[in-house]
Order: sequence, then structure tokens, then C-alpha cells
Amino acid sequence: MPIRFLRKDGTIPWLTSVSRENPLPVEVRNNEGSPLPTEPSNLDILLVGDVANVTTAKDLLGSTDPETPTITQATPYKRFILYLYTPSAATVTVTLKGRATTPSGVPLNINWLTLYTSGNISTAAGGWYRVVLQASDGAPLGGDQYRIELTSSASQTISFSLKGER
Amino acid sequence: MARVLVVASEMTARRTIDSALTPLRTLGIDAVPARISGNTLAVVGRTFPDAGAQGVRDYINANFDAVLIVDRSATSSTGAFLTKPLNVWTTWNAPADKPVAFLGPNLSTAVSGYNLPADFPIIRPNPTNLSNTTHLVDANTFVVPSGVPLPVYARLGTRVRLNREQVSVYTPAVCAFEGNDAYFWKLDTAKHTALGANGEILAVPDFPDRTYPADAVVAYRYKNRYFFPMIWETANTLRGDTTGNVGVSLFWLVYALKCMGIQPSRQAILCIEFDHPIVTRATRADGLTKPQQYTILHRTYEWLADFCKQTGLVIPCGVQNGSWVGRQAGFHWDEVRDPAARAIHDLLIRESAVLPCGVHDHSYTWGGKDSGAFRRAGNHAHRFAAPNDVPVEYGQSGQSWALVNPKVAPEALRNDTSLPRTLDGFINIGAQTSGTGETTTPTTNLCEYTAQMVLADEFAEMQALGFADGHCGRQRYTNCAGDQTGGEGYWKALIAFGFRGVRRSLLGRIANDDNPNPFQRQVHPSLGRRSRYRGLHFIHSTQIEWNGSTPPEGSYGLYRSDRENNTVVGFWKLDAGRDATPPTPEFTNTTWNDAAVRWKAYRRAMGLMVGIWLGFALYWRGTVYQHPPSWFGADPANPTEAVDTGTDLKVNAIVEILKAMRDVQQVLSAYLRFGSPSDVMDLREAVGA
Repeated sequence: MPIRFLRKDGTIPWLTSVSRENPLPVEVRNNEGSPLPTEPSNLDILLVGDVANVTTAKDLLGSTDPETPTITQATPYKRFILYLYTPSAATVTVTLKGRATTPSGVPLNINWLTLYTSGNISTAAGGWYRVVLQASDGAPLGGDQYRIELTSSASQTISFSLKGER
Repeated sequence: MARVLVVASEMTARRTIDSALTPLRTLGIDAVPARISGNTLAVVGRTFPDAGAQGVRDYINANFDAVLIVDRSATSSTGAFLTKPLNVWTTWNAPADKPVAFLGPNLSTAVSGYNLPADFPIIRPNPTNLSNTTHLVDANTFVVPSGVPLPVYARLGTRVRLNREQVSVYTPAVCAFEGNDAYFWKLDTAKHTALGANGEILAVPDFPDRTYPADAVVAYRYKNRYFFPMIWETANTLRGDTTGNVGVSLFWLVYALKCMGIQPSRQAILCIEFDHPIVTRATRADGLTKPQQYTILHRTYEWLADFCKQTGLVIPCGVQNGSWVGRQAGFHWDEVRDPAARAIHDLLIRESAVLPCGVHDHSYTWGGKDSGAFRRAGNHAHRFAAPNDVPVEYGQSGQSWALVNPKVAPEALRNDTSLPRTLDGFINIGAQTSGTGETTTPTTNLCEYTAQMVLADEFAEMQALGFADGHCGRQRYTNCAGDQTGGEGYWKALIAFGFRGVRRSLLGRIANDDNPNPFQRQVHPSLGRRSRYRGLHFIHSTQIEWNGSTPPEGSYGLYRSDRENNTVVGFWKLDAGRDATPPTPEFTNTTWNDAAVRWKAYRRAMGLMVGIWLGFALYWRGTVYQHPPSWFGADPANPTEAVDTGTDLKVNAIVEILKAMRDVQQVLSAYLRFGSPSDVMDLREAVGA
């Protein structure tokens, strides 16, 4: 358990006064439930949830409107990593579309640039799948907002977790 | 920090186990999830092949202050994950054994293998004989009613007597369920008596509308094992960034902590908001006049100011903007022309420490109307007012424009002070400007420039009304109109205007839903990004109104047959009889003449309101909100009291809700306190989410 030394009257107590019976005052860190220190990570959790009744293309948040973005303010992310859980056997496809916006988040124009398609993923009942959504040239994706669509040959509720790599 | 082991039959997120973990995190209690499958207890980092082994007992006693076991199974379920906890853990009752609380354990006789101690006094529910082994709460109440405004088990409101505190509280409570019916436990009173101090009835039903037999029990202590109602978020509250049923039973989680002596590191915040603090309804089926409506509002705000000062509650009030410059008539600026309304307005200014007001503009929804013009103030009323020719968009349609990062801009461009800058410091070449008129050229209402103009105009209106600012003073918060926060340009402008946070609707994905063009819609930062944009909080909230929007007459209180949608019974689908086959409505003109029926409606409504609010405080670390027309079911002659006229029960929704919640808060005072939006945001930052 990490600790820190407490200052007394704004100073650290005179060290010669420290003994086994009279230790430096300390407090246990994190005793207020603050987040534990973590290793630096370039991965942000972006979305977690379920998308239901996927037979025609829906984005991760269930929208079938082709112009609605799934995530915005997404400029920092070089690529995305999508974990899927499929309760039923099916053929699943994942598509990543992106576009650029103004600094106010308004798209410069309609439609999308398709950046990645997974092809047909043959999923098993109760299976987990990892899909890396990235540009084919290896460079950062560089878009500002993205639409991430799923299709499934079987109607099912797919659980997902989307991370973005900065 | 207290440390609790939370045990369930699975560790899947969105299920029962998470309904405990997230509130415990809110309270600063270290919670470790565990799963029992068959005989195996799996804790993070440890697996015990026999959950009933002495090693498990030693492990629990050495590492935890208490154990919470969370279940949610119908009485007909044969799932036996509680075999070891019920058969073995209930016998671990030495002084060194840490307390264990079962939340909604399925004690059903349908489960084979349960071998409870011989002196255990709760009668096991028999799914084929529930009428003799349990006590029915109300028929057809264990259901999310069709058409309810929020997906909740809306009808489970009960009143229970807490024997330790000698206090009755309104809260949902279900010990067992089968189909659509909910039940309390039945006690073997002889065994209970024989237990002496080893048995304690913690809570019993205390309905205002009927009496239960003496053997009905809601919560019970057997030695140092506790049995409480379930906290049944199933299609649960934490569904990441998608929606599910909202749980309403968290009272029992917190009360279990209290009974077991588990102290929190911090308190959850109870905060409520009002939209449109002064508003009246022109048409009323009950003839409630406009002066009477003002009387109800005024007397209620006086009561609220006292309540807030006593409790620490601070209620942000979203003042409808737009009538000052004539964008839309009839809002706050116009309303306060009436002397009675002006008196309420003066009260709001006088009590701004506890009833602070912020901008709330339905006349020009943030990030909303597509290509609409904006009417702003004139006479240089603020820096974006006419006749100032200010930027409104980055560029003009069909013409060249650019935003240039000054890091790479030629020196001449960098030093050109005639060019507008964005809030991030970009140099804007070719910006579209407003012109000099009060009505600007149409914009898409999404650009940070437009956002600043809109906010400046709203702030100026607030100041013209006598308020210090538009962000609830030191709270630096407001409840956005329509719960829409506008989009990225607005968020930047909000930060620039001093906001620390704004309200969004629960899991409101789209920041500008009012925008009819999907292409222009923007998305709120997800939970994974802490629901924040550059530190700006988006606070989850939900309406707990007592009326729908049609007809636009406000609330008639608990029940009125010709305006059901404008009553709490109709709006929240509290009538369980409507779902019966054949339908046997509980609330009709005829039955309403029975006082017990009126108090049944009151009991369900209060339990629901308390339950939802606790969920939003503990789970979402957010708020709830109302519009004052929800209070119009009050008696204008006595607006802050519950008045039973003999044929009707007149209540003021907000007064009754706050009274009920204060009872709960006082019982759970170590865990809950009334607070302000700042307290809510402080809590979110302390929790780290």
C-alpha cells in the first residue's frame, strides 16, 4: 500500500526525533477511494454496450441513420480496437467510416469515407472477437468523427467494447 | 476504507453484481466482486473449490469487513448458487465472523439442496403455494409497465417500518417474485421468538392503505446474517453507453451497509433541478386559476428555500430565455410582468444561494434548428449584440475560408487583428459575420461563434432580469433546455463562459437531438471518457414529472379520471389492475372515493420517486428534475400540505417527494446528503468517473 509522509506545521519533523516508537507520521494513500495510479496508457475506453436486433447495418449505438456519427471529438485516435461478443452463430461484418469536421464539430460535408471493412467474420455462439479498425496504409486514421456499423446474418444482441488508441 | 466482498452467480456486467459495485464505488467503499458457481467461489485472484470450506471463512474474515450476496431469481427458479452461503455461511456466527447480507436471496422451496439451519425463521417461499408462504405486495407490480416514461418497475412503491430507527420510509421493496407479482417474506413467528436476540425484524410493511399480518417481514437479521429485498437491476442501469431498465431499489443496498456497520468514505449527493421556475397553464380542467397557480408556486418556493437551508440542498432553476429580445413570447421575461409572478421572481433572486438560476433557452435550442436566424439584443447590450458585426460561422457557403494555426501562419497573418480568432486560437480567414441587424443571417447554430453569441444574449437577459449571471452563480452549471447541450462548439463556448457542467438527459446520446438533420448531429462524450469534454461535466438526469405534456395543463396530482396522463398514476402507469386479465382498474372515479385507494396511489408514487432519485444519486451520480406544473395538484388553499378532502387527496408533488426523501436521507445520513450541482460534480471527480 503506498504511503506518504505527513508534514507537521508545514515542515517534515526533525529526523533525529524519529524512532521506532515515534515514527514519521504517514497516511495510507488512496484511502479516499481515489483512482489508483495506473501505468500510462494510450488506450481510451470509448464505448461499451449492446446493440440489439442486428440484421441490417446499425451503428454501435443502434442507429440505422447512415448520417449519424457513432463517435465525435475523435481526432486523437490513430486506430480503434473493437471487442465483440456474439451470443449466436452468424456472419458478422464491421465497417469503419470517417470524416472531418470543423473545430465546432460540424462535418465539412455529407457522406463518409469508408476506412475499414472486416469482411465476413464467422462467429460462433457465445464467441468473443477482436477487430482492429485501422487505415490500410498504417498511418493514423486522422478523422474527427466516425461511424462504426455492424451487420449480422442472424438477429442477435451483440455486446461490444470500443477502445481508441491515441 | 471499508472493504466488502460482493458475491453473485455471475460477474457479467449489467447484471445484479454491478448494481452493487457502482453504488459502492460512489460511496468510496472498496468492493471486490466474486462469483459462486456450483461449489466454487471465484474471487479476483483466488479460486476456492469449496465455497463452504474453513479457508473461505478465514479468507473473508481476514480480508473483508462484510459480504453482500446479490440475487435475482423467480421463486420457480431452481438455480442453487446460494447453497453454500445459505447452508454453511449462515452457521458462521462466531464473534469474529464478518456480517453477511443477502439481497433478494431466492429462498424458494423449488431449489433443492438448501438445508437452512433448523432455527432459521423466514419461511421459504413455495412457488406452488405462494399465498401461504409469502405475502403479496400488490398483484401485477413486478413489471416494467408498457408506456412508462422511464423503463422502471414503476409500481413497486411501498412504505416500510424500520424497527431500529422507528421510522417509516417510502421505497420499493421486493423480497421474492414470481411472474408479474412481488412478495414479502413470511416469518415463522415461533422460531423468531425462540431466537431471542439472535433474531431481529429489521423492517415490516407499513402501508398507509392496508394492514399486513404480523408475520409479514421485509428485512430480517438472523444472528449476524441479514436478509434484505433485492436490488434488481436486471437489464441493468450500467449498460455502458446504451440504455436499459433503471433500477429503483438501492435503498436496501445502503441500508444493509448501515445495519452491518459499514461506513462510507464519502456521501452520495441528492440534488434535484427545476426547469421553467415560473410558468402557468392557461387551461385547467379543475378551474385552477392563474392567481391560484402563482400562489402554489410562491408558497412552494418559500417552503423550498427553508428546506434547502435546513438540508444543504441547492436547486438549480433553468429560466426560460428568449422573450427579452422577442425570439419567442410568453417565457420568463413576459411572465414576470404579472405582479404575482414578479414576487416569485424576486424570491428567486433573494434566495439565489439555494435556488440559483441559469440559462435555459427553448427559443433557440442549442445546436438545434437547421439554418435558422438568431434574433439578438441591440444597442450594444453585450459584445455580440447588434449592431456589432460579429462572426457567426467559420465561412460562407460557396466561398473560400480557412482556419490557420498561428504556429504555421505567416507573420503578417498572425498580426492581423482584423481577423477573428477561434476559442482555440485559430486565425479565421473568410468568416461569415452577423451583419449589423438584430436578426442575423441564418446559421447552422453549431459553430462556436454562434454559441458564444447565443450564450452572451442569454446571459444579458439574465442580468436584465436581475440575476448575476446565467450559470447559477458559484455552481457554474445549468440545466440545458431539452437536455440538449449543443455540440462541440457549444461546449467550447460554455467553458469560455465559465461553466463547469451542464445537464444532459440520461444516456442522451445526441447532444443536439432537436437538429432535424442527422448529418449535423453530435454525440456526447461516452462514459469511457468520463462524460466530460475538456473537463466540462455532462450530468445525467431524468424527469420525475407528475404529468405528461398533453394536454398542456400541468399535473392534477395523484389521479383524475378525465386527465389520467396528467396525473402521477396515469403518467407512470401505476394502476396495476389495467394489466390484469380481464382489466380491473384500481383507480377509477368510483374507487377514488375510498381513502385507502388514494393512499395506495400515494404510496406507489412516493416509493417510485424515492427509488428513481436514489438510483440517480448512487448509480449515475447525477440529478433528477421537475417542471413546476407538476405541483399543480396541490390544494391552492394549503399548497404545501397533503389535504384529503374526503373525495380527493391533494398533494404538492415536490413537497411530498422532498419530505419522503428527507426521511430516507436521515435514516441513511452517513451515506447520503442533500447537495448542490457543485457537490455532484465534486463527487464525480472524487470517484474518478
